[in-house]
Amino acid sequence: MEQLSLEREAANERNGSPERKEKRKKKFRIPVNAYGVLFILPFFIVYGIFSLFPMFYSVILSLTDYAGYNRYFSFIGFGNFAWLISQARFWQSFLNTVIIFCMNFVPQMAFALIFAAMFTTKTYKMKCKGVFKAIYYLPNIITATSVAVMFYTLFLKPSGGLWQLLNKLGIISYDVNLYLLAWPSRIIIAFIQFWMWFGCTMVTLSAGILGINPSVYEAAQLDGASQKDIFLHITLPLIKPIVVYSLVTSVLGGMQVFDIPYLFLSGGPVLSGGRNATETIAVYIYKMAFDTGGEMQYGIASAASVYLFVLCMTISFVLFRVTHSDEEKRQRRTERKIWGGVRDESRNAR
Amino acid sequence: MKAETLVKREARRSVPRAQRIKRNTVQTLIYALCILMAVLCLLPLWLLFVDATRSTTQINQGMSVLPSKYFFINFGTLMAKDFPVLRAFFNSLFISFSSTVLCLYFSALTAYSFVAYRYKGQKAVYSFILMLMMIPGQLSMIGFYKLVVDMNIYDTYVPLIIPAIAAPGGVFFFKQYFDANFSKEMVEAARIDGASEFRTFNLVVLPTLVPALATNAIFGIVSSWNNYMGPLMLLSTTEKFTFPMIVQLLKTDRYNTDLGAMSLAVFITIVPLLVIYAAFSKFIIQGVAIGGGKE
Amino acid sequence: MRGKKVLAAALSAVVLGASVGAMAACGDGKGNEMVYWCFDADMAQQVKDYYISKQDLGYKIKIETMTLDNMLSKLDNGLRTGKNLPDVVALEGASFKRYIDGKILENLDDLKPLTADMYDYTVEAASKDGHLYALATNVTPGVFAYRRSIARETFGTDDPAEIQAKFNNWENFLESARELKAKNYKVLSSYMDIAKVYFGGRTTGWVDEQNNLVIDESLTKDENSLMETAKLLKDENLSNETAENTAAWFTDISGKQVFGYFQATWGIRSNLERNCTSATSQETSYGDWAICEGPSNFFEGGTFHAVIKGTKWKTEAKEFVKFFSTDETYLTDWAKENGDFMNSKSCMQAIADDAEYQNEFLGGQNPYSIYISAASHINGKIITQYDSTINGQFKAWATNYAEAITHNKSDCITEFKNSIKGIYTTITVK
Repeated sequence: MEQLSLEREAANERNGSPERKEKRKKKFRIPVNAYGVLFILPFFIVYGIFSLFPMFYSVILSLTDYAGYNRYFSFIGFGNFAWLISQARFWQSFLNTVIIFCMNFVPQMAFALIFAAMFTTKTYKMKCKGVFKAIYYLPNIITATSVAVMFYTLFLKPSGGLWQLLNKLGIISYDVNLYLLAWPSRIIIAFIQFWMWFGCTMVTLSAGILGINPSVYEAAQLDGASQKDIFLHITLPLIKPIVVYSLVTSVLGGMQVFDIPYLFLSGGPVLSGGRNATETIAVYIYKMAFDTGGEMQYGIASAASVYLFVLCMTISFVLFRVTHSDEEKRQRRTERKIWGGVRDESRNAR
Repeated sequence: MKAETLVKREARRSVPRAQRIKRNTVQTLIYALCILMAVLCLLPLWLLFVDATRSTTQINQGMSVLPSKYFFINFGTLMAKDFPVLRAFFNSLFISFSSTVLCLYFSALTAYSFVAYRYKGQKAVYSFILMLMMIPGQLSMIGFYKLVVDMNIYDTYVPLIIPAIAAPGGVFFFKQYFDANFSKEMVEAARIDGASEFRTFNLVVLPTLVPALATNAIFGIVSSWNNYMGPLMLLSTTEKFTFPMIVQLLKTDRYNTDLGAMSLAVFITIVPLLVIYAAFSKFIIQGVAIGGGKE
Repeated sequence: MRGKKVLAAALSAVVLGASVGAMAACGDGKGNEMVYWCFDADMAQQVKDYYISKQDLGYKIKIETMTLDNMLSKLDNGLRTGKNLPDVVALEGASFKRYIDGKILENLDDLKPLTADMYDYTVEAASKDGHLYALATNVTPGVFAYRRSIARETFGTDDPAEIQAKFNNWENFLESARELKAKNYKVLSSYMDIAKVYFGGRTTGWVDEQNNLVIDESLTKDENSLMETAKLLKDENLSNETAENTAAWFTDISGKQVFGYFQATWGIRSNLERNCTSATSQETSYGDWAICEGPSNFFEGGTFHAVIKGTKWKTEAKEFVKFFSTDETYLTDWAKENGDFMNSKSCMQAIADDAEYQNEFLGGQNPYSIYISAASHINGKIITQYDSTINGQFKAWATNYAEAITHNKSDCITEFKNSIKGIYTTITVK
C-alpha cells in the first residue's frame, strides 16, 4: 500500500508539468511537517509486518503445542516454559553462550586495545597502517559457512594442519581428538569468533582514539607522563564510550551467536545430563524447531526464544543503565581532571 | 617508576644512541606483531585457495600451503555439476542489490524525517528506533517463518528483500551522518524553488549522501550476500537458491564428495566479497569506524 | 542529472520489490512437469539415462537434486504447509522411516504383488499397519572390504571364505586385529566404523511400540558389545584413530596401513574406488580389495521411492516408482555398470551366477553372492524414525567411553539416556 502511494507520488513528480503544479497548489496543501510522518511510515509498516508481528507471533506460539507436521495447534499455557526450566540441556546452552562469548570477547578487546594503541601511538611511526587494518578486517566480511568449513578441516585429527602443529609442539598428544573435548571445542569456536571480529573492534577502537583531541596528549606529554600512563589514564577513560558501544553490540551479537557453533560441530561434543558443550541458545532453538530427525517442537523453540529475548533485553538495559550513569559521572570527572591539568600545565608554562 | 620517568624525560630532550636502538627494537617488535596477526588473518583464506587448486585425493591426503594444478579441472567439475551455479550467483546478486537499494533509500528517508521536519513525538520515535536496534532478531525466527508460510510468500524473494526497508541500524547510521552534514538552508532553497518534499529529498538531499550511501551499501551487500539461514529457511526451489546454498549443496553431496570443486565453490563465493573489499576497503574501514560494522 | 539517476534507482527498487511480490503471487501454476526430488547426482543421472531418454512419456520430469539434509528440511516444510512438494521423491534409508505414513505418502498397496522379488527388509521397512508406502530401488547391505595384499602377508591367504572365517564374529575380529597389529597393520581406519555394524546386528529397535527407549544388549552388555569392542580397539591401538568420512579416513584407502573398511554396496565404489589412488605418490590400491560378510550384517543408506499424497501425477508417479524397482533391464544394466546392488532377487541372482561378471576393483571377485547373503539377513523390524539421531548420540557416548573421557560404562549409558531425554519429548526413558 505504502509503496504504491509512494510510487504514485513519485510518478507525479516525474510527469510534473506546470499546469499540474498549479492544480496542486489550489488543492489542499499538506503541512510540510506532515511529510516527516509520511516519510517514516514505510519503515514502520514494514517493521510492523516483518519484525514486530513475528515477534508477537513467536510469543503466541510459545504458549501452544505447535509441533510436527500439524497445521493447527492449541494453547497449553506456560507448559513449554516450565518444561524448558527442567532441562539441563537448555540451561547449559545459556552457560555455553556466556562461556564462548567471554572467551572470545575478553581477548578480542584486549588485543584490539593493544593494536589500536600501537596504531595510534605518536612515538613509533608506523607504515602501512591502512593495509594492516584492511587485512585485520577482512575475515569479518567472509561467509560464516566458508569460515566454519575452513576451520573444521584445520583442527581435525589427524590430518588438520593446526592439529598437526599442536601435536608437533607437544601441546597435545596423538591421542587427543579436540572435537571430543568440551573446552578445546569451545576454545576453537571462541577463536573463530575472535578471528572474525578482532579487526572490527580494533578499527572501531582506533577510530575512537584518533578522535581524542590531540591537545590532551600534548598536555600530558609536556607533563612528562609515560606512554603507559597516557594509555591507562587518558586514552582508556576517553574511549570508554566506544568500548561500551562495542561491549553492548558484542553482548547482543554474542547472545545470539548461531552460524559458527551450528556449522562447526552443531553443538557437540556431548556432556553428561543430556547437555552439549558448544550448543548456544540460538543453536538450541534452531535444533528444537528445524533439525532433521527432530520432533519439530515449534512451541518449545518459541518459548526458548522468548527466554533469550528477555535475557538480551535485561542485559542491554542493565549495561546501558550502569555504563550510562557511571559513564557520565566518570567522563565529567576525567575531563575535569584532564582539563584542569591542562590549564595548570599551561599556567606553569606561562 | 620515578627513575623510569626521569630517563624518559631525559630521552625526550636528546635521544641518545641506546635509546634509539631501544626504539628501533620496539618498532621492529610492533611490526612483527602486526605481521603475525596479518598472517593469522590471511592463512585460512590462503589454505582455502590452495585447496581450490587441488584434487579431492590430494585434499584427503593432508594439508598443503602450495597450490597444485587442478584449478581448471575443479572449475570444469563445478560447471558440469547439475547445480545452477551461475544462476545462483545472479540470484544472490539480485537479492543483495535490491535489498540494499531498498534499505538505503528508506533508511535515508526515515533519518531525513528526523532532521528536516518537526512533529510531535519525534524524539520518542527516534529513541524507539534506537531501541529496536537492541532487539535480538533470533526471537522472531519461528514467528517469521510461520508468517511467511501463512502469507503465502514462502519460496519467494519477498521475505528476503522487503524487510530491508526497515533497518534500524541504517536509520541510525544516516541520522548520524545528517547530524554532522545536514544543511537546512539547502532544503529551504529547494522549497522556495517550488520543489515538493519528495523531489527535494530525491534530487537535492540524496545526492549529498553519496559517501554515506556508499559505505552503507557495502555493508548491506556483504551482509545480504552472506545471509545463509534466511534463504535456507525460506527457499525451496533449486532455481531460486542463493550462492552460499549452492555451495552447501556441493558440500554435503555425500555420495560424491568432490572436495576440490567444493573448495573452489567456497572460494568463489568469497571472490565477489574480496573484489568489493579490495575496491572499497577504505570506505568500509571508515564505515566501521563510524559504527556501521556491527548490525 | 545525478539526482535523477538516484531517483530512478530508488524507484526501480520499489517497482522491483512490487514485481517480486507479484511474481510470487502467480507462481503457483500446475505446469506440465512431474517434479522429482533426489539427494544424489547419481540418481538424477539414472532418471535421465534410463527413464526420460528411453521411455516415451508424453510429459516432462523435473529433477531437483539437493543434499539430503536440505531435501529433508524442504520436505518437512512442504509437508507442514502443503505447498512446494514434489510429486515423487527419493527417500534415504536412514531417515525415511518418519515419512512412512498414510498421511504423507500415497498408498502403494496395488504394487504389493511386485514385492515378491524384492528383499524382505526393504518391504518391511516401507510398510506401516500392513500398507505399503515406498519401494526401494537399491538394497544396500554392508560388507567388510579388505586389502588382499595385507591378508596374504598376515593370514597367508586372500580368499574371501577363509578371511570370513577370521572375521565372522567380534571375538575373532579382535583376535585377527591383534595379528594385524603384530605385523604393523591396523584393522580399521576409524574404530567407530564398527558402530554401524553393531546397530545393524541388533535384535530390537531403539524404540518399542509403547515409545520406550530400548537399548539392545549387543551394544552394552558383555565383552563383545559395541562399547567394549570399541574400547579395546582404542586401548590396544588397533585402528588408525581417524573419524569416518574425514580426510585422513579417505587417505587410508590408498595407504599401506589399514586392512579394511565396513562399507555398504554403494560405498565400495563411491568411497573406496574413488579414493584408492594417492594423488601425491600415484600409488594405488585398485584391484587389491576383496569383500567378505564380516562379523554381522548391516545396511547403510539405500534409496526408496515414494509418491507424495495428493499429487496430481499419481498414476505417472506410481509408474515411476514401479519402473525403478522392477524394470529388469534397468536393474541389471545399472548394477553391472556401477556395482550397485538392486532390489530384485532374480536379477541379482543372475549376476551372481554370471561366471563372466568380475569386479576389477575387487581383484576379479564377483561380490553378488555375498551381497545376496548379507541382504537376506537384514532385519527390517529394527528400523525406526529416530535411528540417525539416536545412533549419533550412542556413538558419541561410546566414543567417550573408548577415549576414557568418561571412565565408567554405566555412567555413559545413563548419560546416553539423559541425552535422549533432552532431545525427544515423546520417548519414555527408563
